[in-house]
Amino acid sequence: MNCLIFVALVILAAVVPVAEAFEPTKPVEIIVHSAPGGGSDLFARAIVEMLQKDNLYHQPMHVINKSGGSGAVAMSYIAGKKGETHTIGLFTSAVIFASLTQKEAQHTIQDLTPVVHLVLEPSVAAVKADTPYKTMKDFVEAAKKNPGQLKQAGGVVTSVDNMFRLLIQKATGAQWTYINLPSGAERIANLLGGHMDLMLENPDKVTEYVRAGKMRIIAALTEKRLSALPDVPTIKEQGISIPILTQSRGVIAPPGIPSDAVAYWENLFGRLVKTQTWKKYVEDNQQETYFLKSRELADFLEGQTKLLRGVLKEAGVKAVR
Amino acid sequence: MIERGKNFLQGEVLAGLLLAGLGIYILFQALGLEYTSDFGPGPGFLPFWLGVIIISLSSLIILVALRKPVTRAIVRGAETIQPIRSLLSWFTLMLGIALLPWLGFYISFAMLTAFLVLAMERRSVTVAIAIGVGTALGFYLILSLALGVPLPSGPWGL
Amino acid sequence: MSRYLQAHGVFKKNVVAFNNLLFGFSIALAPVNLFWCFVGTFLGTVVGVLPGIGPAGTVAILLPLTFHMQPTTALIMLLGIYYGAKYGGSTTSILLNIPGESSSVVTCLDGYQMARKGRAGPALGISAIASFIAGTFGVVGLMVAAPPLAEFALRFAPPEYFALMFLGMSMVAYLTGESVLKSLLSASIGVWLGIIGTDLFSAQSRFTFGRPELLDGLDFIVVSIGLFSIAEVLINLESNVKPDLFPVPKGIKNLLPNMQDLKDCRFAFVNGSLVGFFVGMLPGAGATIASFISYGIEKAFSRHPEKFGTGVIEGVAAPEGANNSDAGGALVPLLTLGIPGSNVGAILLAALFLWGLRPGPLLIQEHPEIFWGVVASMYVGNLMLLILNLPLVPLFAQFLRVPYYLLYPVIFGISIVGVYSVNQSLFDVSLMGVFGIIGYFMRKLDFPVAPLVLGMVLGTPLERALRQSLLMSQGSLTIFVKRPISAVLLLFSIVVLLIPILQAFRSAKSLQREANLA
Repeated sequence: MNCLIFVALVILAAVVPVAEAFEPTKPVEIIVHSAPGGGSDLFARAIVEMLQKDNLYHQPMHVINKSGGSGAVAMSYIAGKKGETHTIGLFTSAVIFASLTQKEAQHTIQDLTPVVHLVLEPSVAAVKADTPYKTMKDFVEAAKKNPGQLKQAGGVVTSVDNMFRLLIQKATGAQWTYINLPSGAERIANLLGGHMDLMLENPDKVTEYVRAGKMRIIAALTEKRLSALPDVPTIKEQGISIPILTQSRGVIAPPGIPSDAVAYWENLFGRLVKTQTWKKYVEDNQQETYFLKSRELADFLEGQTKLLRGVLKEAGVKAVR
Repeated sequence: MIERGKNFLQGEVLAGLLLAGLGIYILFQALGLEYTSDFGPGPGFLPFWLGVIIISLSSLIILVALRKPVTRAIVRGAETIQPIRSLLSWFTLMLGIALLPWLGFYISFAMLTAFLVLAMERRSVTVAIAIGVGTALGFYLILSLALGVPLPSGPWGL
Repeated sequence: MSRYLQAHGVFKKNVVAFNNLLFGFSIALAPVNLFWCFVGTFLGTVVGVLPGIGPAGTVAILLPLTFHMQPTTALIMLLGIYYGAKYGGSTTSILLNIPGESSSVVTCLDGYQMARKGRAGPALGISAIASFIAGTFGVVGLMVAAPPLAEFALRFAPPEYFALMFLGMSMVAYLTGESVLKSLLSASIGVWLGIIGTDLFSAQSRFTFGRPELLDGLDFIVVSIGLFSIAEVLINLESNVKPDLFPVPKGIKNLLPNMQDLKDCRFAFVNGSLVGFFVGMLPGAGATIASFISYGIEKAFSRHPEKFGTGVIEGVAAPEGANNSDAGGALVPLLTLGIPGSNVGAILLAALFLWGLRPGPLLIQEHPEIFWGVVASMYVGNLMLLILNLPLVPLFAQFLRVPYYLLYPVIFGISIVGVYSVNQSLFDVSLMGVFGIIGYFMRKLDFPVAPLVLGMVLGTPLERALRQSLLMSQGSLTIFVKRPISAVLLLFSIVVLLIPILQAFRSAKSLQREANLA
């Protein structure tokens, strides 16, 4: 009798599929939407390096560049890999912005599986050191006195620094001109050259100039003061109340992948953000870790999209979706 | 010496018409964009004027071509110009490119080369295939083994 | 000028500079740095020879390898790749009319024609020599006057950029061939091709035909490889007679530039060095623009401008010099202010960040070994490249012995691989094919290609600078004349535009005088 039970159990064990947790078995592609050397590309390569250094991950991981349309090409590529568990991608907020205004984008981040949110990149407001503006309030007052005369060195009209400008203008009634300059280098050069008055940028790009005495940071566009800049008041502290738009970086995956694959990636990145190497990286780059798992990320993305749509409407830029 | 004659001039007229058509398309699209924006030209300004310039210049070219006297030059020896060769080669190239996602670079390239050698150079089939495979192999050695360049891959990972 | 330099303590600094340079050489000549410099320059040459992926992409891909090196060593290697690529990029341009990278496109114009005339050797040789002279000039400029030059570069705002691009566009007057109509039409189409993409100011897309791949515009190297390389093959295939395409030069003395060649290029050496260096210093304007401007200036001031495009050696020397001294120029704002002057500068900036360095105004003070080590290694690297490339010239020239029926499928293959390597996009490869047939018809119908590429390269920056300037001035056009630098550049452009008209006027007058005398 025991023999029979034993045989039955063995047969059962063989027949009932054991729920195997997902593990990558071949090289993984990590898709970035910038060209080699761009922000996402470097971030991806740093992540790969960190994962291998801390022995968290053993399969090779290749960074694949699919640049074009601020993420449109990359999103389409990932969307086309339906069900593929060995492909993941990095997203930034720029992708969400761009998809709202580009009808050529055939797929957007909404079509993909959100995996994790990794970091936030804050923005600060900077001016040339020899100008009289010590705080954002000073600048706003000056702008009110000379509407349209002051100039901000900015990027594309849909980028976050313009969105902030529109929000601040609406909240304070001030008005200043936005000059579109495609690269960070040009913006910094124009500011240092005295041709423009204000720049909204990530802090790690301007701290060296502050240290050399050439620039001054007059506000942090964040909810709380930045740990690296404890003396810089936030915009809210200065009496200007605006919703804070974030610049996020995180991970997404193709649609239709099994939930245990998502869990695997959530787990892997969850362990990554707890390592010392990660913490040092984030600190060096003046980012802030903000870890969200798949479901929370989905809600977060929805919230940001709604906020952005509203801001775009204010800006008079047509949103196509 | 090339024989320039009516064919050439017809070519210029055709090109002029095509380009005028392009100019009209550009102009039409430009009208859908804003001509001015705050303080200056908008996104439609430059395309509008480009359209105008292209239409004017192509029309002038058509006029000049139609009024030019037909010139004939001596054809030397057995050399003839056969644009069909170029067009055929181009079609072969585009076909090879179209095959890239399915057959991968090496196979498509071998086929492209073999066909060109066969059709253009009138060599035998064996020679054509030999050259096709040979050059593809050469590329394989240099590009994949030595340099690791990423290329479209097809069946058997080639 | 002397007072300006004195005010910035340049003369005093030169004595100090010499000591620092010795310090720099002690770093550059350290065996490990010499080794990696060699690796970099060699790799760069290979990358430059292969069309498509340029030095910027290669540097970015190799960055992870450098994590485990000393920052100075890594920087030396990466820079070696950058100017190695500039040396190498001219090889395929001259031999096969395939531009190795964007800044080698102009070299195709005269370089390939020289090869057709059996002068491939001198073309390759002068390219190496001009690159060496310009590269050395760039390093000297960087070493001697980096801080004041960087300050000067900061005075360039959108109106100055507009004036500079306008100067470049006025070169179209000099790039015209026989038919002015066709040149202008070609240039207009080029400008149109350049504006395809997303408008910076309004986020509206222009002429993207609904394709996301076109949102960032057409890739210049994709279009160039199609128009030059593929079209060239198609034209050559027309004739069923094996054309005597590449007479291989006989004898060693025809394999390198001779004394007359070097004499002819005196102005070109200076032109290329200066233009490349200054344009390289400006963020947003790089080697490609510099190569076009220096070619235009060379043609404008030549005694035989009509010969350009048929194989004039100065037409190779000027742009080749410009695309090398641009490296030194790009490092000026990068090392003194942390602002990259061109796209490779941006990657180097990111690299410096990764190594924990923050390039900014304090870099030279706090990390002199980086600045002086890099400066010295550029001398070393340039010399290495000259020694590496000159003996290779006869070797490369032998490549032309390959029978054409074997060569042209290989050209197709190299072009496909090159274009694919840029963005791994098959769409790009098909575009290359389309531009190939367009280039073929352009050649058949005598539409010059040079104005088209010029329009493509300069059209968008010109439009952008105009709109930025008008935003700054709130709509007033006087901003261009109120600012000294832009006013001077615009004046120069008007002079350049007037020269051919004046020359035509003068020759018409002299013809009339002869007719009256007869």
